[in-house]
Order: sequence, then structure tokens, then C-alpha cells
Amino acid sequence: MVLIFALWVIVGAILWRGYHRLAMAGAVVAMLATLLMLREHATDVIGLCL
Amino acid sequence: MSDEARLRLVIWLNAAAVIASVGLVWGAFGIQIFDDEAPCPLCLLQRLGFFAIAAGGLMNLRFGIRPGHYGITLLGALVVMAVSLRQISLHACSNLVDGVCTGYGAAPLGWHLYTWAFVAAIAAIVGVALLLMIPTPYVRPAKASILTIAVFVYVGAAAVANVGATAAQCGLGPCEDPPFSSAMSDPANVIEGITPGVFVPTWRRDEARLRFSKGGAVTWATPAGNGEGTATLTGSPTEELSITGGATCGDAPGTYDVAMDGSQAMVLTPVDERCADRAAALAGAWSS
Repeated sequence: MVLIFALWVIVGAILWRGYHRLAMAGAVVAMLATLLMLREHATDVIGLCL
Repeated sequence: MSDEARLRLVIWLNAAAVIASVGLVWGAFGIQIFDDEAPCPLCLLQRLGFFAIAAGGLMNLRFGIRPGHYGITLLGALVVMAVSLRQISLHACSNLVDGVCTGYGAAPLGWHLYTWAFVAAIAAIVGVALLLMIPTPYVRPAKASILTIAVFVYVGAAAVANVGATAAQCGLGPCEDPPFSSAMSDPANVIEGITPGVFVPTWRRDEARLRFSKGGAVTWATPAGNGEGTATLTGSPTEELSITGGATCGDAPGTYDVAMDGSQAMVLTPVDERCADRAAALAGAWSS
């Protein structure tokens, strides 16, 4: 979890430096990492939906 | 309204949205620090989602207004929705105390933080939809304005603070679920060299966990009689024992009959009154 927070700090720094596409890619990667942390709940969520 | 005025309006609205979304992170962080309420893993994931919401706004401030930046915000809102909805479903009537659903954790203004997170994510989506309706010319700022710098500092400080707090709570590994109150590391709670036990009901599986450093066998029972059993501890620095069907907050505050090594009578005394107040968590200390 702390690594994803750190990733946001890095994305923020990239954003500040003005690297547009890199910042966009970093933000998407950070979000995917966040969702990855939710994987242990995936079975329950799918079960609820079904 | 001229193009320039609309652009200025949209920039200010983006700044306000960033400040609001990260303001929620600051609010949760304040509860964590001042109310000693350690965030659960799902709570931290929601904070991460709010940073994603803010990132879209920050990009608009830094690079100019673009639909792609709103896309980042929308994705962030979906992340927050997914996580908060999962947490709402976990705690919806999972913990009944006197026939009342108490949910999990603090409930400022009547709603739990995860419920507020869900509402905020909906608000972010509605906000983006409205902002997209305002025709705005694309102008990349030549240099960052005072407003942009201030918002960056505000968001950056929140991110750095959360890195520090999460590292202190979880280290580099996954965070504990449920989190343990930092009050248990208070030396005042250490009695005769025994590390305080932490007795935290988890609403999801109706189990309680005890943590202590002293080895030996433990028998336990709850005052309400809804759970009892035995366990042997190996004496490792922090031994963890899971008790399925253990006490709930409905038992708190109370005295828990726990015997260690089969002879030494121990009493688990709640030192944290939060559970009695709002059934959020029950922390206990060992005493003989």
C-alpha cells in the first residue's frame, strides 16, 4: 500500500516537471495497482453480483 | 461569457475539486491522527482513489483543460466507488448492537467514511459531467500560476503524509485487516512486561483477535458466552490468535475471563471507550 502512495508522489513530481504523457501513464498504473490490491475481494464481489 | 472568462471559471472549479477531493483524504488523516483510528486496507485504497480524482484536476491546472484529464478523474472516481461500495456491502448490517447496525469506524455527520467516499465519487462524476458541458478553449499555461503551485503543495503534502503514516502502520508489506490501534503500543498499557493484548472484533467474519508477546496457553471466554476456546502460543514476539465467533462490541465494555498457562488468571480490560461509544473497536490490555 505504501508503495502505491509513493507512486502517487512520483506521479505528482512527473506532473510538476511537465511530462504530460508520462504523468498520464503513471496515474493509470497507480490506479491499476490500487485495483490490484482489491483482488482478494473480487470473488465476493462477483458472487454478490451473481 | 467570453472564452477567457469561461477558461478562468473552469480552472478555478478544477482547483476547487482537487482541494475538495484531497480535503477528504486530509479529513480521514486527521481522524487517524487525532482520534487514533488506524485506517483499514480498504480505507487506504479509497484514499488512493481520491488522489487519482485529484490527478485529473492537477493535470488540467498544469497542462491545460483536456478531456483526457477528466478521464483520469472519472477512472479515479470509479476506483473509489468500487472500493467504497465493497466496504459498504461488507458492513451493511454486519454488526448488530441492540438491534442497531453500527457499521465500522467513525461516522462523522452520521455517515461512515466509506459512505462519504461513495457519495464523493458520485459527486466527482457529476462534477466532471457538468465541467465537460462548459465549452473551454485549450490553452496550455506558459508557467504555473500561484494557484497551481498552492494546489500542488497541498496535494503533495497529503501524499507524503500518507506515505509516512502508511509506512509506519504497515511497513512495506500489506496492511493488517483489521488494523490495530496504536494506543496498544503505549507503554502505559504495558503491565508487568506483558504486551497489551488487542481485542478487535472484525465485523466481516465475526471474529476477534488477541495479540500478545508472552508465550503459553490461553483459554478464553466472552462475557456474553458467545465464544470460548483454547489456544497455545509459541511465545514469538507477536503471536496472533484468531477466535472465530468471538466477542462483539455488544459485550463492551466488560471484563473478559482469560486464563494464561492454565493457572494465571488474566483480565482483559477495555482501555478504549470508543467501542462503547460507537462500537467501532474494542481494545484491551492484559492485567493480572
